[in-house]
Amino acid sequence: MATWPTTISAPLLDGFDLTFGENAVYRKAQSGRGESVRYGSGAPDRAKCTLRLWKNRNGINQVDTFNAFFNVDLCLGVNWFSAWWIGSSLGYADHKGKIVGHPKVSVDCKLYADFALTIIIKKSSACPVDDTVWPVGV
Amino acid sequence: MIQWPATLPQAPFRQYSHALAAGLSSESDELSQRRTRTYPESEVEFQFKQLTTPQLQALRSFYDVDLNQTAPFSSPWLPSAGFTHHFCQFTAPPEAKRNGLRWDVSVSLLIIAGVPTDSEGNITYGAA
Repeated sequence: MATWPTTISAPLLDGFDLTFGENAVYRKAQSGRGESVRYGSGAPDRAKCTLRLWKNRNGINQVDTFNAFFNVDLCLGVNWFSAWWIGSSLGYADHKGKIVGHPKVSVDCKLYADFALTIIIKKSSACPVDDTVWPVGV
Repeated sequence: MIQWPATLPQAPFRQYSHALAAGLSSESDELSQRRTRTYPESEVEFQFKQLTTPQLQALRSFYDVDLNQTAPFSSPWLPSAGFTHHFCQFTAPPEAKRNGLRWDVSVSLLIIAGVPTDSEGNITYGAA
């Protein structure tokens, strides 16, 4: 299981959007009465956030670190990861995250780059244990 | 009926959006409408400001576990919002947005009328 690199900070909390997972189907009848039925469990919570990566923080290019983490450890977002900020900043107990879609660079200046991320969050027990590995260099 | 948790704010932000969900025989036919309901359902979006992270997780647990995402519940602020004998049901998952050190949460609810009763328990249909 991949772990969020210690040299990269957590996503910015400013503008952090979090939507709880929905396992219910809501239908509105012609009379106006709503009918809500739950059909399962395990829909992940969805977070939209911005990750600010500095190009020279204590001699480390965080953009390169994140790109390597996303490309290799996460296998372009296929694998789930554990991160300290999922628990301490968001209040989840024993949850994992997964980057969905491809991170979009919204700001890229000399000092830093902002990546717009969409992350889904799920209980660790419901996440796959094995990681997908893509041969590097092939 | 399940109660709104006491650990969460007992009243939402003052400004909220509110629209009747039904009440007429034909919503689109403006010339030939008839009223069909005494107490039509209302679709309301409430805002809760400055929730702490534990409160956010308490709301999540209330929505997902206590309500199973679908059950109706009663809330203490409805009478002051004009819903004197009503209860609520989530129509969509709550959405949280970070605001400084805390969270602002938006909840979309369907407000459903129960049976209005007086202090002795007698049904009082037709009351405003």
